[in-house]
Amino acid sequence: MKLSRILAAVLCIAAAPLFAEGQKEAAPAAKSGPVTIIYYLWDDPSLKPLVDAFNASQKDIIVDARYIPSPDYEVKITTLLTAKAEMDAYMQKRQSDMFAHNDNGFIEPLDALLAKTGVERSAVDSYKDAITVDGKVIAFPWRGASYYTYYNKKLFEKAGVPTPDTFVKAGTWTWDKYAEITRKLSSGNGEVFGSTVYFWGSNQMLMEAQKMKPIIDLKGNIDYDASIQRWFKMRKDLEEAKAMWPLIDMKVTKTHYSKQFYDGKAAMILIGEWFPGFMKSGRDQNLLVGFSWNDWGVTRLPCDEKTYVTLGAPTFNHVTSYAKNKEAAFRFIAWMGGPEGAKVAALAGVLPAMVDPGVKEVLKGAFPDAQSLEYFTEAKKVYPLLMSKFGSRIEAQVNTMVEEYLLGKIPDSEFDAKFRAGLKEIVATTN
Amino acid sequence: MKRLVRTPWPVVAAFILPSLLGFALFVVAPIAMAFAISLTNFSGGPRFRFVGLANYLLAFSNDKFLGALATTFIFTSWTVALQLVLGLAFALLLNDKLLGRNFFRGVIFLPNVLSSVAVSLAFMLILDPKRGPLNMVIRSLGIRAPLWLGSEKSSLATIILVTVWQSFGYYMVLFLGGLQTISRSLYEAAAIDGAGSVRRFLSITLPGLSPIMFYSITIAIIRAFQVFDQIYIMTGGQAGGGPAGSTSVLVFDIYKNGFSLFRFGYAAAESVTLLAIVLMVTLIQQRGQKKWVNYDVV
Repeated sequence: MKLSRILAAVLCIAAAPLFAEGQKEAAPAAKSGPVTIIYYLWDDPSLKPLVDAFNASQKDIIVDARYIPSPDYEVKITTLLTAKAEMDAYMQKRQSDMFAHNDNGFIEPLDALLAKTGVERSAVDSYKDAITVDGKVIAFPWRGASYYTYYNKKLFEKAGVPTPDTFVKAGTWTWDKYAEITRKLSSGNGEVFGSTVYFWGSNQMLMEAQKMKPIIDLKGNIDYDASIQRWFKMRKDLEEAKAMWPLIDMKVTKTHYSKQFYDGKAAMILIGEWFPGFMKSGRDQNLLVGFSWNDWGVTRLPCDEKTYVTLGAPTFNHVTSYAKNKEAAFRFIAWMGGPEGAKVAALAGVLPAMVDPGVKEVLKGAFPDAQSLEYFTEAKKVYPLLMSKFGSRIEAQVNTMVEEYLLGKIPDSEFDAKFRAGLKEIVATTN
Repeated sequence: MKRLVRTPWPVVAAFILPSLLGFALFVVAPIAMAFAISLTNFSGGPRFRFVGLANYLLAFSNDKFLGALATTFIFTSWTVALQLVLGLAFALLLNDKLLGRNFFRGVIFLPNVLSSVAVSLAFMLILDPKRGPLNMVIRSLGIRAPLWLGSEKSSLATIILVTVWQSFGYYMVLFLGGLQTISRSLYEAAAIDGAGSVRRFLSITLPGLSPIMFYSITIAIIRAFQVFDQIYIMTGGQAGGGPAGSTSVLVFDIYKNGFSLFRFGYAAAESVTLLAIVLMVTLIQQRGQKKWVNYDVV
């Protein structure tokens, strides 16, 4: 009896920590040293230099960067935010997620901090429409927005085809011309593809973006063009002709778009403004196969519209609403989006959110020729097609439908009805 | 007469309290919360409202959910059947005195202790349609190599095969244990009475293994309904689900809706539905065991 009581007491004591409040950490003594901020971003090679450069440029703020693998970033950052994980600032990868994050109260509005600190704000002003929700600025852009045609000059030379900039200058770089050139450049046996367009849903809407209309507007009205179906059909025809890298193959084999281009297996790639950074990394790591640094170029996307338009949404940072060091976090993201951060971004080969003559001078090192730099930095219309609260779900629908279409599961006659039905469900079930 | 001594209830409570608390905190509470969230339009933050059964009605009228449900049932049916058949076959084979019996038992069981993520990554490389070693061997034989995960026709079958490969060893070990408990004298008596090997298998082995079989079927079905790792790793991560969603099972659909599209309320409704299905299947099996599970064979 006595033994059992002792045993019961021991077990209760062992269980006590479950009920204990736990000692709260004592409030840290007022520090006179640097403030450390926790910042989340993904593992793009062009991003680490930005963090390192900021940390080296001043002594008041230390950025503790936490890198999440790119393929899982959107899901992991959402999980971290929902769990209120320790985080002062983060970079947004899927820009349309900004609306859900803001709606859930994760993001700090920046207007007060912009007014208080008086930081350089041309990047904010340039992209104000894209980063303002309910009249409040909630993001600080650091990387500009634009999609381009990147091309391998050697493969064009081998096929005896003029490079796309020739057609741009002649005003004939249309989507039909793009399809025609893609066929001419391909080897026909899957060894060399005329073009590659990555599997992201947004990349299947380059043509649609040039119409400069939201697929679902803020009031939930649906309005889209036949361009989406036209692109799907074009893609299917090119894949069947082995002229375009198969989308499903890319997903299954997890072949990154940079590898496709590095390996000299894709004569053209339609991708965004961060790609010169990848080319620099490829050059530095001797990954370019069959061509050298001077054998590639950049020009506009194909476009059927009278005025050139490209797809793009700026890449931006947020300060979390529950950040412990809001002002320090803001100063960091403002630095990233300001002239000093722009130069570091340019050095890494990406298009900064603000481009002045100093930045353009630095960008030269990321391009093989002056013409490519001109196309990269020219003033142009950029339309952020999916920048709305419906954007993520529209992209998810396009992701699924493009695969079904490529596999022949959606006949052309049923495409519109199915697409519209999906959009209606998105409108009805989005908060 | 000695008075019956009852254990004092504080002692009883002290012994079961830690487990009970753990069960309440990590099983009961999350289930209750999932059900509560399923009745709202929760999207991860403080702004949400009660929507009643709207999420459930939406799920059962949604092609993607119904498709994921169908895929889950197909996956479950095939994996359970193959795991048990192969497990039993190898258990019977390795129950006899064969040279290297213990070695083979170990080798077949080994994949079961490996991480499913590691196994999935390895098979992704092995089954690469263009560069994978398996297709290289197939092509060298002059045979047309399948696309494995690259085709909506073969992607689910590929994942079933990988899952079965990894886990049938576990059921083999269970069946081996069950075979040891069947008395040899029953087989000897049956042989004397003129029963052939098939008759002995049907009348002695299967009834003798029925308790283990019941346990194995129950566990295999529950595990199959919970499949996620292989789908996520082998078919493209958060953008996965196979070509045209051909491997999108219910748990993967829950994951996508919850963590990719912020539809936590809807995802919770899907997960409560999954719980209800698994519970129903288990209860049906529990009731059905009275008819075919024999605990008396020794």
